Amino acid sequence: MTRFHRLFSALCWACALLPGAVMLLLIGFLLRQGWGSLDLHLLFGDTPPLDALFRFVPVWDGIWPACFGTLCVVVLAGVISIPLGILCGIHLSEFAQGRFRDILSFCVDLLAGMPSILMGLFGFALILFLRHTLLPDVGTGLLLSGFCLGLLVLPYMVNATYTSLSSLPQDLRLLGPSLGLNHMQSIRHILLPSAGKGIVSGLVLSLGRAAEDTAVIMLTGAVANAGMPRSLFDKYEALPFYIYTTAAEYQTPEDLNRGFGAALVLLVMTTGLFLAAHLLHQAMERRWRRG
Amino acid sequence: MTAAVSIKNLRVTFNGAAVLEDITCKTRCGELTVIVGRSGSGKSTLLRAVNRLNECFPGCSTTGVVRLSLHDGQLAVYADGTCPERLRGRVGMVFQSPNVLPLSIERNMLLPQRLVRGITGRAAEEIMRRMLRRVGLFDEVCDRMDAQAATLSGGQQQRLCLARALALEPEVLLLDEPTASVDYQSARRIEDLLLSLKDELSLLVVSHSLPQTRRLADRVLLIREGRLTGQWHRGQANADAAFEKMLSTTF
Ligand SMILES: Nc1ncnc2c1ncn2[C@@H]1O[C@H](COP(=O)(O)OP(=O)(O)OP(=O)(O)O)[C@@H](O)[C@H]1O
Ligand SMILES: [Mg+2]
Repeated sequence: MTRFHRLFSALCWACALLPGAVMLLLIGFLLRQGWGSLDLHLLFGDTPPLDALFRFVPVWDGIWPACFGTLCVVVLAGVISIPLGILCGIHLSEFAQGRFRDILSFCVDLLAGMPSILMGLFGFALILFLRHTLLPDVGTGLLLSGFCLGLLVLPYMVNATYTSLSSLPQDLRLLGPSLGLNHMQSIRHILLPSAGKGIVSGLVLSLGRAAEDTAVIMLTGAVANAGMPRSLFDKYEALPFYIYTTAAEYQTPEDLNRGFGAALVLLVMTTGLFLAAHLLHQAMERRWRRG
Repeated sequence: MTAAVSIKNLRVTFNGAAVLEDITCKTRCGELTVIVGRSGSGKSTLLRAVNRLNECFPGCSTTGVVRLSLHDGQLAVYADGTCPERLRGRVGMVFQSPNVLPLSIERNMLLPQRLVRGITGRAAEEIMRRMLRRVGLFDEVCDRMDAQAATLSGGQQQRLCLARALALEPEVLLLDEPTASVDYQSARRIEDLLLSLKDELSLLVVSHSLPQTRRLADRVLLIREGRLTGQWHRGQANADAAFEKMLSTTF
């Protein structure tokens, strides 16, 4: 091996270690700062946990409402962006042609590059508009946040579906038609399952992005002490927003550590979502392979 | 006797560049037709023109007439009313490189039967076993039907693809070098199978081997740079000499 080769492979090796190292460092730091405050009191304050979970007794001094709020907006964003994104990706890869496809995929890229604060402003402006025209009573809330977050992560879903479908080998594409399957059958039974892995990575990326985003929810309905939301149109609390306000306004070191504890909880929540996504994918893949 | 496949003035272009030009030929029912020619001459494209698979490539356009004689009469392949999916359900194809579904061996056989012919359960499994026996694969895979088809060897995959095509009971079968990745023994088995099939269905086979062509062919179509430059038929005068003369330049 020449010296250059050795240098290059050493560099690659070092860079491959980097993400792992950063990850460990980050988690280690979070654990050190937040572990001490991570207990039921952080979650539920002085309310008995079972009462808070099952009897909806208000929680005043804990982050449970924020966890619940975040879960709600992520699920809403997913409900909006996952089906739309997958369908749009299928359209781009399988049906759209020529210039129309170029224009569509350019729009998707534009949307992907949109800063999230703009999406928040869009939601805010939308609600102002609605208030002045059709619906004088509406305000910001869960549904609006979920909608805007869904728009924010939509391009990730579209691109993940589009790229993983269109990078399938040509032979696999021809296989369905050559057997006499129609286009829909080919997509449903051969192409989509084969592209499943890429689509699930897009899903994980989207869910993570929706869970962590603060700019959008700040402008569309997240507030500091809303408690549990009572309906889709209610204001709500959210973990990233809680972390943000804690970091901005803490008065004692313990306050700040509660912020770190909340960050850990957010991490656990997103990891749980990823895990759920992977389990779902595995189950679907098993069904596909076994029949 | 009616023509099994009849092609007239076929022209296929990819993005404007002609790949096949002015192909006119006929094959008879009960005959096995072998297509020969150099690499890149357009043999696979000619096969795909028969089941309209070229249409799946962007930028491809086809003109001319292709007619098939099927059990219920003549079918004009490129007529407006012809549904490509229905056509391909009756015209089986095995690709040049083995092309299994990323599924188990069993699913490879059963999924197309369910989707294309609506056959499921016992009946489908019965067909599966019969076809796997027919291509000589059953004994090799019967104890691992749940294994991924991709774990089979190249030749086994090729035979699986053949069995999968046969399971759909096609009336025309297009085979693109069916013995390319198969050892001598299996190749002979497949050849025997093809010879036994030719009473039931029309066969169009691309071959790269002179001995194989000699063994199989009732009719030979020689393609050179997208044009049909030679035809041979077993019944013609001085057949053997003509065969040697035509193919000496190709192989
Ligand atoms: N999808 C396609 N797009 C553009 N050109 C194509 C396409 N398919 C085939 N061609 C061109 O058509 C010509 C004939 O290809 P074809 O695959 O039919 O050759 P072949 O005779 O089967 O060769 P081989 O013996 O190597 O398989 C080649 O020059 C190839 O580049
Ligand atoms: Mg070929």
